[in-house]
Amino acid sequence: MKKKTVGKLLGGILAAAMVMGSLAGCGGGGGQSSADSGDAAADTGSQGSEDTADAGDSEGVETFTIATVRWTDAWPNDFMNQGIMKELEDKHNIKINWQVYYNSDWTEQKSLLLASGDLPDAFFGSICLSETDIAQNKDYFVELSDGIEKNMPNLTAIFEKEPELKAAAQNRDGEIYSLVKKLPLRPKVANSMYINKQWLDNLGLDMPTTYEELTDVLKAFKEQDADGDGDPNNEIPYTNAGSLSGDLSNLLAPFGTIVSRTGNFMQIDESGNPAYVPVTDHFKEATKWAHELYASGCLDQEYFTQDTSMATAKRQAEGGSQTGLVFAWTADAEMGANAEQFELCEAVAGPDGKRYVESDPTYLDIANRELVITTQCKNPDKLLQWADDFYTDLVSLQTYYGSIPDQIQENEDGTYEVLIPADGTTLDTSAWFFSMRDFGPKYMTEEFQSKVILPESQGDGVKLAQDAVNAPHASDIAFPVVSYTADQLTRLASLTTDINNYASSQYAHWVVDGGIDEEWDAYLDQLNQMGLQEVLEIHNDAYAAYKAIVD
Amino acid sequence: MNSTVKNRIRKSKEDKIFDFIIYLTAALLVIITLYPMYFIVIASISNPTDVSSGNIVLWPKGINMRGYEQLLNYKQLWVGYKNTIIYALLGTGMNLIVNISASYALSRKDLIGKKLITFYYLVPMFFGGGLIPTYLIVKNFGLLDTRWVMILPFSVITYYIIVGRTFFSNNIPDDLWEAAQIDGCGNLTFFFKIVLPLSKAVIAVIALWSAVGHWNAYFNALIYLRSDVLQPLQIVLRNILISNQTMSMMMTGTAATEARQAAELIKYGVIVVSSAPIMCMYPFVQKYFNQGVMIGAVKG
Amino acid sequence: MGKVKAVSKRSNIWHKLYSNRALYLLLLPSVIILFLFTYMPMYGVVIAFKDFSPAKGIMGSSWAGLKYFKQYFNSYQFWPTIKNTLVLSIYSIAVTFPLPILLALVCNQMRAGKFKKFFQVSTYLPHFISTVVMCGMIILFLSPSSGVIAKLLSLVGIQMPNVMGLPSAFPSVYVWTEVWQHLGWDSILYIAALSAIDPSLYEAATVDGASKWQKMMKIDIPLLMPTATIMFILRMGSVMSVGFEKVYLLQNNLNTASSEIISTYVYKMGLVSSQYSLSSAIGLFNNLINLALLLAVNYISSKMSDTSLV
Repeated sequence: MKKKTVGKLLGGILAAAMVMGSLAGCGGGGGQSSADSGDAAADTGSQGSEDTADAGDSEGVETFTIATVRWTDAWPNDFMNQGIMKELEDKHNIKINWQVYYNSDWTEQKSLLLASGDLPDAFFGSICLSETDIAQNKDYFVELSDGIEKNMPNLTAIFEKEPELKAAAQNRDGEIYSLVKKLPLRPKVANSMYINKQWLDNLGLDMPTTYEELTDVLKAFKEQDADGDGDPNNEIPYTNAGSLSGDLSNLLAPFGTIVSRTGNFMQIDESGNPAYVPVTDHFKEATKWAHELYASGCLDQEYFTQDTSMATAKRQAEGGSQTGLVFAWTADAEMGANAEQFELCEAVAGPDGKRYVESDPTYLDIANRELVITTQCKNPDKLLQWADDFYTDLVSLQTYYGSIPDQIQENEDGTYEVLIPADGTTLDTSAWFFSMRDFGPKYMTEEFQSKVILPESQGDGVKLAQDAVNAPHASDIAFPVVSYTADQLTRLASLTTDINNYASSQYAHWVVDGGIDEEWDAYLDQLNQMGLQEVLEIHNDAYAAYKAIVD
Repeated sequence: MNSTVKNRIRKSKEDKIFDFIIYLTAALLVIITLYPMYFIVIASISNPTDVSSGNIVLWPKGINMRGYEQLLNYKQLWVGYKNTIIYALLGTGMNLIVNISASYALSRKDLIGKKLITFYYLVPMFFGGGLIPTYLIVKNFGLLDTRWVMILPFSVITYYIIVGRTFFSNNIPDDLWEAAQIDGCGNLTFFFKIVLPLSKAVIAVIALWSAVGHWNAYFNALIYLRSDVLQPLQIVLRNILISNQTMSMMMTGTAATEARQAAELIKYGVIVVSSAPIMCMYPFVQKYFNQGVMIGAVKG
Repeated sequence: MGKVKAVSKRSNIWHKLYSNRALYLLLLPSVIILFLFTYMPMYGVVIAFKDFSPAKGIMGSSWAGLKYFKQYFNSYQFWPTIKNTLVLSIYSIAVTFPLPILLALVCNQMRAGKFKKFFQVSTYLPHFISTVVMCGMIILFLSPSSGVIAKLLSLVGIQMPNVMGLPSAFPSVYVWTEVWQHLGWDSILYIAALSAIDPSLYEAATVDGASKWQKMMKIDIPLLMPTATIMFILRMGSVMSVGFEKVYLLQNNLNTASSEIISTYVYKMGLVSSQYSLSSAIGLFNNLINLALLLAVNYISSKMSDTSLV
């Protein structure tokens, strides 16, 4: 009886092992994905399938595997094999196999990809790799300076014309590991202030022009019945999911506290030197003003504790917005159905009489890492030649909005009209369906930009039209995007987490509780102990290197 | 005689008060714990602006089925359901086989080297190579992008082994084992024919934990699976949610508002869609938690 | 005479091993799987001692010795994050450990029937709510302007403070919402343990004139002790590992003094740049502490009772 049971057990284990072995082999060919993907719109073709056919020449056509990251799988990817993308492939006699990943999973998958060494021939799009990724893994990537000189006349010419782009492309050792982009048809201004015109009219007030007038308006919103429903207490003059980084460039802008969007809280001060804003005097004044707003109820009591959906709910409340002020790219982006209540307000003047509005072109419009070539690639020259075409006007136009003639109409007078999508989706979204949009090498000359006609009713068109109001005040004080050495990047990573978190929580505390004057010196000491001076040295060093190239 | 009757009456009064307290506590707990789920159900069909502004308390407002429409029409969702059911069934089976057998062995007093073996199981709870080496090993075994990666490599769970071992140590009396040995029963027969039938409660618990664990699993799928056909439910749901959130950020105007609203609705709807099936499992498991599982064990 | 004894002792051990060979067979599957997928990758622990770069691989990366440990110990947030982690952890254990046991006892006292089933299902329902949704709900419910709790309090005329903005309130918010969400689910094990108690014990107690309360105190609780002890020891093995997601979602700029814990801090550093070696070093350090605590509690338990983990 004993022997039998043991025998049965062993037999069972063996059988299981055999089944396991055969099944393990079975599922390995991941390329079956496209067949079963269901939704046509969600068909990604090959979600990261290992379709690596390296320069396996069949009929002389070279193949390249390129990985890219998209924001969501709800957008179609067929454009990658059609329109302008196909044209370029045919022209250079190559075939590109796209490995598409999605942003939500990318962080984990990136580290595994890098660790396992199964690299594609190239990464497309600045969303794929960060500066640190490249710096820490240089062995994987191809240095491109020579390749650019040899194969890319367009880009070389652009580097001559715009040294800013060359600065963006080079690392501190003068090496180039990636290609750059400069987005066309961009507004000068980032976020602007929109004020609830309906409330102003109800209370018989004018648009504020100085920060003091703005304070009065906000107080009026709080104390009086601005929305006309009979209750003077249910208005929230300004609400937001508040944070230091958001406020510096928006609410506190009249005090000249505009900072870089990279999140390092840095700006260039009046004497042209890099400055860490949370230790400056104008920041101190700005925080005092914010505390005045909070104490008088002009700022939502839940300013620092609510999340974005709660703030948005207040803005987009049915029957009229509950709030009087919003900072946004465009009004309809934030206000939804209540957008008509709001009107663009010219930036208000601060204590020094100047007006500031957020502007950060080196962050928003320019980027490197748009194409990174790995050591896996057997023919980088070919890929660079292909990439050079992206730097022509027509190609840049089509990799930004979609191909001619389906998404863009070529007119006889030499202008190009971007068409409004027939199915009702907004242009901003549909541009992503038909092109790489923000990602990939791109550059459009000024003259060509004037030939592009955008629909005025939505998206980029609306933003550009509104740009005129605040463009004169577009500040140039935000710290530009600069290059750091690998060591500097590591030091920054360790130090700035502590420093910026401390500054952010102190800011929140001072806005809610006040007391900045008494606690200021101790605060400065604390920041210095955390290593602020070293951080400033690093930024100074990087900025000097940047200026050397740009000037 | 009199005092015994008095005792009995007093005892039953004590018992009645005791019962009252028990049931009152139970009722309060039910209200507190039921509310979150109730809120989620009504939030998944209410106007999201109302939800985020706190207007939804007891009743749904502005009934909006768009979240469920999008969820249930998403074909990949049904692929996800199918895959998760497969992983849950096979995975639970594997978990039970692998862990309960170890539990039993570790509960035996005759096991030589017990301490060492227990340490062998405990060490991985504290020390591990991390994601990258594990990934490389899974890859070398050819398990990447297969169903087996969701069932086999991570099926040994020390926590389950210890719970099982504790149960076996405390509930299988030594006299039972001795009696069985006298009858000529070996370890295996004892395990399969006597111990397991008596241990329905702990098997039910581990099976429940395991099934729920597999049902909620998403991290391993994220790392080790590529093909759409193999993705489990949680990954599919996560993708739907994230794409709506992304779209609401990237779009402008009314389209953005709509995407944002859909994202909020789906956020709640996803909970309902993913937990409804597994909650139906509990009643089947519940019967193993009733008193009297041990009746007849020692006597028989 | 000695030689003969030695020989028989040795053959005694082999004899014992042989007669219990089935046990080793039962251990085999888990031993193998564990070896392949957790022991084999363990060489990755050295990442904590190297300047790891994925391109160079684990073997190719250069040695850094204790550099990252030193960096961690000297970092500004070292003590604050440890303190916050321990506060959350110990507060959490003190509350969330005994309550599921109490719940199981309560449940066990209920007569079988529809209400009991309904009660059980209702208490474990919140466990299925994802952390993201749970935290969204917590922030919403605790909002002083629009939350349910504020509305209830205003009925009795109390103005609710902005709880999420108070560092002192953070641990309580974290712990009591843990109870709220996981109480029912955590009690399942104890309900199962109670169901395995021999009913004849209850019968004997009734004959002796014991009330329900006495039965609970004299039978239920003592018989649950072994299970509870083991669970407690296991729990002590994760004191330093307070989960990241929930704390991160409930954190805001006003409560960081008590909400910045080890895992959220490591995450934020990783956001800026991939700090493989540093996070590996921190993880290793935490696990060593966890292991030490577990062994300590295990030792105490083995001296105080018959139950111990190892």
